[in-house]
Formats: sequence, C-alpha cells, structure tokens
Amino acid sequence: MSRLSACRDSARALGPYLDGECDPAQMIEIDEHVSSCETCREEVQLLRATRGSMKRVVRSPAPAGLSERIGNAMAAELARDAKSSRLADEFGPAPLMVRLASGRTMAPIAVAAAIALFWGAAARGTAAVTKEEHAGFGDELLQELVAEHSQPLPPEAVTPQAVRGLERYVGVPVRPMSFERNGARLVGGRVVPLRSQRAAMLQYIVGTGDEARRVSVLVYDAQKIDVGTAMSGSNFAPRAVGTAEVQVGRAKGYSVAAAQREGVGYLMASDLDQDKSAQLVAMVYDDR
Amino acid sequence: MPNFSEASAPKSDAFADEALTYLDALYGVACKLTRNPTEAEDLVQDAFVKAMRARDQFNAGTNLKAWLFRILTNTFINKYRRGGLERSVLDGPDADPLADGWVSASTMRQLRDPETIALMPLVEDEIRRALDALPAEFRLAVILSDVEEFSYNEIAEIMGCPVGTVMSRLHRGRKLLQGSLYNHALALGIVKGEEHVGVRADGRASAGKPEGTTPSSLAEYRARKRGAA
Repeated sequence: MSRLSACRDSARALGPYLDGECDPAQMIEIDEHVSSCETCREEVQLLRATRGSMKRVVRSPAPAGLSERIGNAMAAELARDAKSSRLADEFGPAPLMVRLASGRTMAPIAVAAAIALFWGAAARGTAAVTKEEHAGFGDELLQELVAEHSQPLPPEAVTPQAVRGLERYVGVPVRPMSFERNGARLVGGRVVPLRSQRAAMLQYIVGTGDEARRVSVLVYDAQKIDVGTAMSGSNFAPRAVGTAEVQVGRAKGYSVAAAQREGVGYLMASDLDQDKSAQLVAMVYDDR
Repeated sequence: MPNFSEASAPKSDAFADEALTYLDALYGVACKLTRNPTEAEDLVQDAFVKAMRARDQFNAGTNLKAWLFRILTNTFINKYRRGGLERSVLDGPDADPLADGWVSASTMRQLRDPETIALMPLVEDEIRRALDALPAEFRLAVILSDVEEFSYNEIAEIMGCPVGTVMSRLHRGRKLLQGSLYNHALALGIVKGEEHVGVRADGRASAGKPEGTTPSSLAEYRARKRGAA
C-alpha cells in the first residue's frame, strides 16, 4: 500500500480511533501509521486539542435556580400523576369526561354532576402547579387572546362546514374536530386579526347547565405567528399530556393553554382550571 | 363520596434527584442546540418533565444520561424543528477534499496551544462561532461525542439514526470545524496561507475570507459539495 493511500484510509479512521471506537486490529494499524506519519500525528493532536476546546466552550453550568425550578416542575408532574391515577381508580381510565359523556345508561343530569365533580376535584388539586401563575401577564398576545375570549364578537360561521371554510382566510386547516368529539359544543367561529396576520377564533361551550364553561380557541398559522417566543416568558409552563406537549398558564384570571400540531397553532382561553385546560388543548393531537 | 384530599407530594424523588445530576450537561448542550440561553432553560425543563412523565419506560440500570439526552433531542426536534433533523447525510464515498492532508503538519501544529491540550486561545474563540454555524445534525453529533463522550451506539440511540450516520456526521462536522478554524487562523495571521485550492467545504479557494465558510444547513452543505464536485 502506498504511503498516500495509507494516509487516506487512516484519515477517516482517526476520529473513531480517538473516540475509542476502532476494533483492536484497526487500532494497532492506525497506531503504527500515526507513529510514522507526521501529518496524521498532527491531525490526531489537532482533533484532541479541538475536543479539549470544545469542552470548555460547551460546558456551562445551569443558571442558579434552574435546578430548583425543574425539581418543582417534576414534583408537580409526579403529584398530578398520582392524582390522576387515583381518579382513574375511582372512575376508570382517563379521559374521564369522554368516558362519562358517552356512557349510555347515565342520565344527562348525572353526567353533568360527574363532570362537575371531576373539575371540582381537579381545581382543588392544582395547588402544586407553578409559580408562573403569579408572574405578570403583560404579553400582548395573551392580552389579545383574553380580550377575544372575555368579549367575544358574534361568530361569522356557525356550522362546522362554514367554520372549516375559514381556512381560506387563515391559511391553515381550521378543523378542531376532536374538541367536538370530546363533549365540547361548537358555538361558531370568525376571523380575527392576530399580530398583523389572521387567525380563526372558535367558540365552544363545555359542560351543561350551571357547569357550562366557555372555551375560546385561536387557530393560526404557527409558521407566520411565532407564539413560541412570546410564551417562553413566565406566563406558560410546559406540560406533558400523554405523549402530547402543551403549554399552560394563566392570564387575567383565565386559563390559557397552547399546543401546536403540524404547523398549526392552537391557543386556548377558558374558565377551566389548568389541568382541564391542558387536557382539552392536548386533544388537538387526537385528531385522525 | 371518594376522598380527593391531596396526598402530600413527595419532597424528593430518587428518579428526579438522579436525573437532575445531569442538569448541567443537558443545559450546556441545550444552549448549543437552541443558541439561546432562555430557550435552553425551557427546553431542558420540558425534557425533564417529559422524562418524569415517562419514567416508567426507563429501564433502571441502563444509561439514564443517554436516555435524558434522547428526550432532550426529541423535544428539541418537536419544538423547534417541526420537520425533524435531516436524516440523509450525503452517502457514498467521501469526495470531501478536506478528508485528508488539507493542511500541513506544521500548520496544524500552529493551531494548537503548546501549554494545554486545547487550541490556541485566539483559535478557540472561533470554535464558539463555528460550532453555532454547523448544521444542527453535525453540531449535536460532535458535541455528544467530544464533550459528553457518548459512544457511537449511544449517539445513534439519542439521535435516532444508524451508527454509520453518526460516524459520517462526526467526520463531516469535525472537518467543517477544522476548515473554519484554519481559515480563522489564516485571517488572524496565526498560520501562513498555503496553496490549498478547493480544500474548504464550500469548494472555494482556502485563502479567502473566513466568513461564510461553514454551511448552516445540510441543504446548503450538499449544494456546496455539488458545486465543488
């Protein structure tokens, strides 16, 4: 083998050689080559030096308080888990609302009572969650959302078909069908301005009678309207619901929750508690 | 009437405690993935909460650190890279002229700091910039190997790709970094310009300006390689 081709062969192997990923025979071969080839020896030294520098550049201790914050978030997750498994023991597996609502033998009034019971229980159980609640809610986007929710304009489209037709104004599919499947009643939808773009504002009623709650959902093009950075402030805390990842928080006394799927953003405001709110917004992932 | 009174939340949890011993490592890598300390904090918190949620799926006795890094990587992809990391790195024989002997032994020696096992301080500054400029796939592979010292198998697990792809990303990532370092050193006058036409990843002559030497995405990288071929 010529000198040059030996070099070529080993050049690609120098990385694995340094990473300790070569088999022993290869190791010996490269050892021999490196000891006799100055270029490859320097290459090894340079790779080593780069690695040393890389460690210094990349390693940065987490900021003070992050460990505690994450520890709290994990403890809250654990507590929520424990709570939902206790509820599941009582009523069967989650999602509770769906199961109860579809129970054939239950009278409607009993359904409402059971849902109220569940929500009541969930509301009592949220004490563990987030100091984020106390943080300011100056964010413009949340203000807009809450304003739309608290003083809703009359819907422009009331049939599911007409609501889906809002797609042509918003630029993304408007079909939060899973909300409906899971016991929420669609009131209607309209186009609203959102950060100089357009979004669809959908209104729902969840529950019946005295327990009826309004839920407003903004559906928007997540690639045009970057809610991500707006939400990275203190208003929102990430939360896992099943395999879905959602963000929940509070603004002006309302629960707000956000989820994204396939480039479509969903931003929800409601009177529900945060657990319920997180569960509901996570239903966008159940579609199809 | 069922009793809904809250059981007292455990003050500390063995799983959480062990997981948090890797906080610094995860945070450092998250910073390099997001290139933004605030987003890095959120990303790491997301990952830990998800890990907590999925802790039943973790097999005790296996590598918790690697498992956490996998969750971190997936969370990053889901949150910031809806399309996912690009899977298909250019295959086939390596036509990269950087692959061997792109610069002389003496020049390489000049890039190193004789006192420490590291680069010259002036060149080291460039590592920061060049690393940020690497395509995310390369950046993550290089960091997981060089900084966190994961094995190739572990990196393949974390990144969800075959070991061969890991090796390819490492090789190319390191070569792109070296190219940046070399050009930076050249611009600073630390090394003397040498006749290495076409040695850079972008296919331009090596004596050019150091700016824009590292492609920021795989697509750009491929385009440059096609241009160079």
